[in-house]
Amino acid sequence: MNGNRLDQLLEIALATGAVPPDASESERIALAALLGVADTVRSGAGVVETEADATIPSARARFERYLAAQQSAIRAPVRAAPRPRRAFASYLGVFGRLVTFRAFAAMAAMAIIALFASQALTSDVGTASAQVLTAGDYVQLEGTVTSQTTDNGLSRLHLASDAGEFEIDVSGDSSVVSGQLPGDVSAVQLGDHILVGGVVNQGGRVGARTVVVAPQGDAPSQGKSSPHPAAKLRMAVRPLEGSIVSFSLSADLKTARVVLDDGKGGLFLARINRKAAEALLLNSMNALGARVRLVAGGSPGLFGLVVSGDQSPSPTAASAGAGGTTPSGDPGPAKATATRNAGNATQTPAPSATPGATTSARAATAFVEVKGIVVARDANVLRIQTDRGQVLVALRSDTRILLGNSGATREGLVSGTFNVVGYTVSVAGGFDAKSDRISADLAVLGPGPGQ
Amino acid sequence: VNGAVRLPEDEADDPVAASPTVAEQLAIRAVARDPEAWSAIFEAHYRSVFAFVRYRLRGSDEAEDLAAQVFEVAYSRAAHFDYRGIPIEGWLIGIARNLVRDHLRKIGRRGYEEELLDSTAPTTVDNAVGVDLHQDLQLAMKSLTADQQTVLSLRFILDKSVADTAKLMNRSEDAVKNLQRRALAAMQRSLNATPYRSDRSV
Repeated sequence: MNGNRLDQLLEIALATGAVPPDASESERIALAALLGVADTVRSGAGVVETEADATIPSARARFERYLAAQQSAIRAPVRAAPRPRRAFASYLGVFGRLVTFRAFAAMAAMAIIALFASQALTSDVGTASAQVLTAGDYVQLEGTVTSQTTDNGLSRLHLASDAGEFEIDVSGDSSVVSGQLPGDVSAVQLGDHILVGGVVNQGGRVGARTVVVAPQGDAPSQGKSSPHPAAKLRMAVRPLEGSIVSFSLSADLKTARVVLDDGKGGLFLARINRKAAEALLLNSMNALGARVRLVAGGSPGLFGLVVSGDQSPSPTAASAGAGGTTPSGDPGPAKATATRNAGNATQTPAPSATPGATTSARAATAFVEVKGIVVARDANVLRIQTDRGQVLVALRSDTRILLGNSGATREGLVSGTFNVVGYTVSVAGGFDAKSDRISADLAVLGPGPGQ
Repeated sequence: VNGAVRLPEDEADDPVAASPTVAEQLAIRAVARDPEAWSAIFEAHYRSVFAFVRYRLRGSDEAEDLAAQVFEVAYSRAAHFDYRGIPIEGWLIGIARNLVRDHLRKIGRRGYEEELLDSTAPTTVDNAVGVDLHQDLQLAMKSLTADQQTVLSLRFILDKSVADTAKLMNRSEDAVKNLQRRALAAMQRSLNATPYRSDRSV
């Protein structure tokens, strides 16, 4: 058996998953054994990936602290950089046997102090963000604006939420919905209660795609506990029940993460699988506030979830019922003009700027939500038939689209070879006042004709 | 109707992988110790670094600790990074290899197997994952040479192509193919009491 030939055959076998037909009997035996070993090694990759995902929040927080310390050291050279938490632990491990009991006791006391110090560090903004956010994630957050700076048309908000504290960038490209009408960045004020949908940038801040400002006097957080310190945020280790206080969808759309408030002062970060994320969003595109129960998700560290009862934060457009301004079957597209619907009864869903689309109304702090059937598509614009009329929804280059069980592929959607007409779709986003359309942050494709 | 929707390609979301120019610009900022550049590097490469070191270490906590150290060491040596000769990932993997080697030397006083057997349970109570790799796989990996470990990690854990692996290991593609076959054979010998007979005839 020639080594070089076996190398080449193995490479072909690894690429195709099958032993090449021209291999001799002895080569086939050898290759089959090597493929089996390769599969064994590969089988660990999924576990490693799960572990990496689970460890990334604390590793990121550690690295952020390291970077911050280095920057501080540059500004103030006399300050020593803080020693990483784990470095101290490993120090104990390596030299533990060499120290006397008294020295060990002193070191233990130092370790306790270091632990408290590190826990105190985890309550700062950077760490809170780091625990919940990953660059590229689409996220939904809700909270109160506690500080605001403006620079060159970019408004940077500090958001205090039940999931922690976050930095939000609101730009001219962000869709701002205020009083259920299209607004602009100036509509966001200190002390406002806002809902944010956006994408996490490399700096760990959220680039807002949509900001929904609760009207003055509306208190969507009434009755809720005060924001929890981020240090209480823990990884969920077993099924539990709670209300979603933050939702994030990974850039590859394969997993999502939720932070759950268990109502007993506990905050739990859980990674959920794609199917669970789709089911959650099909229940309501406004994931925040939904009460859910974590269930086993098919692999370690990954959960599924069940929405507990119908406590979705917003009714769907299709089920919104009264309050529509356009009768079903309206032949023309609804306009995203700011028409306050004064005729709405007090208990009906909040008026929206576009018939057929609704901010619900748990009310005023919900994303614009559309559910219906795609009746036409023109480039990146979908015309969606809802129970209350037709709505134009623009898919942006950064719209996250979950394909569900539609059978669609991303490539098919991009190229237009997949005919999306006739498929149900759920969309969350804001208003694009310039184009009279709904601007989609997030979309979930549902069943198609005959499915 | 039904025209093409211009949606982003996956690469567009990853500025690190978007183009050589972007990667080079990031490297230049990294050399200048721009914190945002380093955050981006961390986000882009942490998983790879973690995966690379994971099989050589006792548990997830240890791998996290060492992976985090890789970025700290890289930052501290940023001024020495020659971004024209090597991709950032290759540089990080190189640092990871050295740190793992040093780490294993240190714990070698006690014995790797003994340490490994002590680490079957997750060490962090709040760790949701609670997964531990099969000890036999880890022990088998330990039986390999450093280069064999590296090639298996790159090819089958990080799913790198032969060409990328060759670049990261600074070897020819043929050398990588040969190394991977020998590594798999060595793994099989460790995992299975039955020796890999055909390997001896090569």
